Amino acid sequence: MIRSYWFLGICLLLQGTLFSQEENFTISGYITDKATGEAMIGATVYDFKSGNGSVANNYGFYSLSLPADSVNLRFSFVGYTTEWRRMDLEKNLSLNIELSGNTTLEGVEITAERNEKSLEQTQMSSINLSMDKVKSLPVLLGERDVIKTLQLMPGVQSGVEGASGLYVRGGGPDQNLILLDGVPVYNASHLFGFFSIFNTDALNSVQLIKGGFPAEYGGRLSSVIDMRMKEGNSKKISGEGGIGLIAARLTLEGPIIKDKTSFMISGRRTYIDVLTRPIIRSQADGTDGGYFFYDLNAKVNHKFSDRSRLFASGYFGRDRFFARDSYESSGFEDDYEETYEAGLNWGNAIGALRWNYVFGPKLFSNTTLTYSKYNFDVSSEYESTRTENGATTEEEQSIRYLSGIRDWGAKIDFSYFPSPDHAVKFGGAYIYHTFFPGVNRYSESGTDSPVDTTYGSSDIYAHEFNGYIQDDWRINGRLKVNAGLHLSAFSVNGKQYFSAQPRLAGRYLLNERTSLKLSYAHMAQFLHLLTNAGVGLPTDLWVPPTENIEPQLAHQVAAGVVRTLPQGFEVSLEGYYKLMQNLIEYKEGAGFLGNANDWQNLVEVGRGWSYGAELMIEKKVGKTSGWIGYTLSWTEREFEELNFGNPFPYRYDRRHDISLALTHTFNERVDVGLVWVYGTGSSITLPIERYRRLSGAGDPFGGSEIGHIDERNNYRMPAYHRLDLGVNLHRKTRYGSRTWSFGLYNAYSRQNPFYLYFSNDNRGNSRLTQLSLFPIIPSVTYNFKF
Amino acid sequence: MLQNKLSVFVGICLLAMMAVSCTKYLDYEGEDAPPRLVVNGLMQADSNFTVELSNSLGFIDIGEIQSLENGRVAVFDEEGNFVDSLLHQGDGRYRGNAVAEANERYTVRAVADAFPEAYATDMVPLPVPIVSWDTLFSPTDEFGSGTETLTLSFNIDDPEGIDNFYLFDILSTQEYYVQPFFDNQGNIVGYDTIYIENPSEYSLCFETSDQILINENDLFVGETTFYSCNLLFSDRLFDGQNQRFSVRLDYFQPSVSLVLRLSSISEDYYQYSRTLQRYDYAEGDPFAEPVQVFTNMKGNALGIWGGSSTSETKIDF
Repeated sequence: MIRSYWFLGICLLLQGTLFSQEENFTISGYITDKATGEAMIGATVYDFKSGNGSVANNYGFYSLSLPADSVNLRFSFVGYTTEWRRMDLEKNLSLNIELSGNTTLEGVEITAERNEKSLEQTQMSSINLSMDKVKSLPVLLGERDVIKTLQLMPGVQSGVEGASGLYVRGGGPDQNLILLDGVPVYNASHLFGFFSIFNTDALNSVQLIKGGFPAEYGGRLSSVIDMRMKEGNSKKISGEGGIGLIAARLTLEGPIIKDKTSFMISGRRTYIDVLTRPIIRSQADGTDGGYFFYDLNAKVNHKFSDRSRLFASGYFGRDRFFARDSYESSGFEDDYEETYEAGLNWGNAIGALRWNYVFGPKLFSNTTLTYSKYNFDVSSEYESTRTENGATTEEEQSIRYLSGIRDWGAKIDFSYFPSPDHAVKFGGAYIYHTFFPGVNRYSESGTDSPVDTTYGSSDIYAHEFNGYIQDDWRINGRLKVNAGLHLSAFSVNGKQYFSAQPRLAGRYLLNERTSLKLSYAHMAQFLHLLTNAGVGLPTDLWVPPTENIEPQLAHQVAAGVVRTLPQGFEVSLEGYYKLMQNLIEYKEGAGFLGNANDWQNLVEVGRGWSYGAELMIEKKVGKTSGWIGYTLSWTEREFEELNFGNPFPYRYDRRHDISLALTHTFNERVDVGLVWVYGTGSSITLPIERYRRLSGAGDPFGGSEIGHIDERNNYRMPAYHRLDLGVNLHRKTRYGSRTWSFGLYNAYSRQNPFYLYFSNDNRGNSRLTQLSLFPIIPSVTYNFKF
Repeated sequence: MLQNKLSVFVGICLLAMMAVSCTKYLDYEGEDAPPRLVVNGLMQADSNFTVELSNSLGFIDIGEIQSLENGRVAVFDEEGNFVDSLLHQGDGRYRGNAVAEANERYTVRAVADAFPEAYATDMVPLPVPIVSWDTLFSPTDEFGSGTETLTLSFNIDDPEGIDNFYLFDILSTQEYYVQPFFDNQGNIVGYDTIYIENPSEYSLCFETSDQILINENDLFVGETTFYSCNLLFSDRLFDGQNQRFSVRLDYFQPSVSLVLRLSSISEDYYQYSRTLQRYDYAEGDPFAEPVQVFTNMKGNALGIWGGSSTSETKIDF
């Protein structure tokens, strides 16, 4: 079986090489933003003469092999003025193109040809998020958030109200490969997931893939979210920032050496603590506490030549919660002072060093060293000092708990364009994982029995390898196929796992406005996440597979149709079926806090499946743009030891999910945004009846009652729906421009369910009670650009 | 300790959320779920059949669960032959004249009020005796309280080739106690042994480090010791073997006699007891996963019809 996969891969490569023997010439180069020098990721180049085209990669590089002839090239990107080039192609040509952004403000009318990219590409179940759209849609407390915007896409669901977790096509929150400049991010949430860690000002592009995964991606079952940070303006110093209700942010970018070296640095910090500390302090002497988070993104890149370029990028962000309490007393002969301090802090640190090298017009390489760390640290310290008759005694007690995960990685990727009909990608990667499942440190001094001890689970070291090859092959004018193979291996504690994952995606052009798409992807995931699956707690813990708990696997098939309509409309309809194996869930009765030790004994292993249909009607251009998304889906889980072995609905099984996101630009100074979402309620488990248990027979509680649960996840919370409204008022200033953004989150103040519990009403009756978090919440943000 | 702190943190955050949140009551079928017949019975080998009848209520129904006194309960053998009819003894308890035999399957059928007939079938397994036991005393602590730790070991011969399920507990009977005499300065000057006229039996809780027993109580796996008043376990880790187990009783006073009680129980009763144990462990913890208690009663009814054969070993000190 494995041998046949290798054979397939070699055939693909050879095939490309054979094709390269034809008499073609190659046009290659970079497509960049004229104003900033920023790479235009996903910009398209299309030759009207031959009907061939190509797409700029994550670094703006494109390569298009064409027969020796006259060519008529069009370079385009939504929101940018299209560039045309006509020439006779007699030799390989290096052609860098700069596209000019529309001179009007964000979101204002933009013109484009009908969007061939969606029709032409073999990739399906994919969404490229416009950063302008992210910035113009209204959001909670005015904090722009790419993850919240992705939640508005069909097939993507949020967890509980306000949270930024992603549940893609019935998958869990751990099954999303979130890449920031190619580096995996392990915890993408701030403050219980109400905000994501991604500062939109620092991002250049965001792509979400829900299915039909190309072979270059692997390691997660349900989605890939590939985010690229801005490279930094290589033309001039510029910046943007904003001050909102809870946070302020500032981004600076510019050339260090014009057109050669540029930088970008972006920071964000909340000031909830600054606002709340005076209130907390006023409550009692010696009491203090607060919470804040901050992010820092930075990137530097240097262009050695048109062929060689180096990037260094990093992200560092932390959440910190702290509480302090102190007490003092003074007597005639003795003084006493004690301090109690508790802290929680968690965060990610991410780094990437990347080298792009263009071997020739047909071969592009990207070599990357990566570092990613997520850690969680909780501490509690107590100190007391007693002075009695001139003698001082001190007592100290300290408890800390640390857990996390750290990766070092190296990878190399090649893009090879052997002929007009083939775009081959291949490469490999190695990741050295270190899991910190939980270490406790306890010390005590100044007591009769001083202690200083460290105990907990040992660090776990694991090696992950992967290699891939894929070919985007245009078989004829109508049929195009992307076939590939992703191989991966994982070694931990002497146990090895290997996975061969074939990938296939194809599109068939029915006519110039309609294409059919079909895909199959087999995915493997060598990580499990111990999570309560409700609130994005920092205690969620990544763990490797073990001898008893094997890696997660998935098979997904999807079929769809894309049609472009007049006036910039595009309609896509997709159906999918996904089967997932080796999923984990906590055992009945198990809690989730601090269960690092022998976690595998606290979980059950089972399988799940999800199927459904997704409809998206999108308008990308014009004064009014946006989309309507509708998802109809079923998601179930089956575990031998849960629900007595019977299948049960997944917590986020959501039959209907509708999202409407619209922006309308009145003129250069005013645009408005509207978001409306509707989703079937999440399912939770509640007892329906109570009855007496068997008395006696060794049962110490004999005779008391049992809350009967007929089926797991047997109760549907009320449906979730919400309307958000926003208006952006722009004005040009001496230094650049400024925007006042006013928003109303949950404009009709719908009480959406966050948590259900039983309570007693004022007549003593027990009632099922719904807790809702966010009523109507206005926001105002001042944004500026220079 | 740290888990507590995490819980406190999460609790504080949830409270903070609740402070800025709003609540409302929801309609819920647990308020007016129609009552169902509840039948609970444990067949003990060589004992009369007994059954308890009651009705269920909606989970948040404030009414009181009623014992059903006008029911009809009958027991049938594996071939469907009538074995016994159980008579009401009071408070919803029914008792028959026939005794359950080990290695036999029985079906209970019960009707009461307007509920449809409830029925269930289960087996009374063969008893598995404790074949040997051993005791070891050691001082419990450094404070000189006079108490000792008793380490109790026992062996069983697990029958090969069939799935066996066990419930182990220890009963104690204090037959006498020792009373010291003091002088004027409070010093002990002598002792007197006083015998209790009608000693009563009670269950003793104990501790074990036995990994087989801990593994069977899987919410406690990873712990070095497990404290309980009864142990449920299956033979999946020692099928067909002579297996030795060990438990400890701290602060043990040798003035009592002990009864080691090993019940060989049916799989259905094991499932019921195991899920019930988890249910009790998780009850009241908002972060714990919900637990479904096993029921084998059919006919739109709830409850358990289980089987057990108990062997007892008395140890006098």
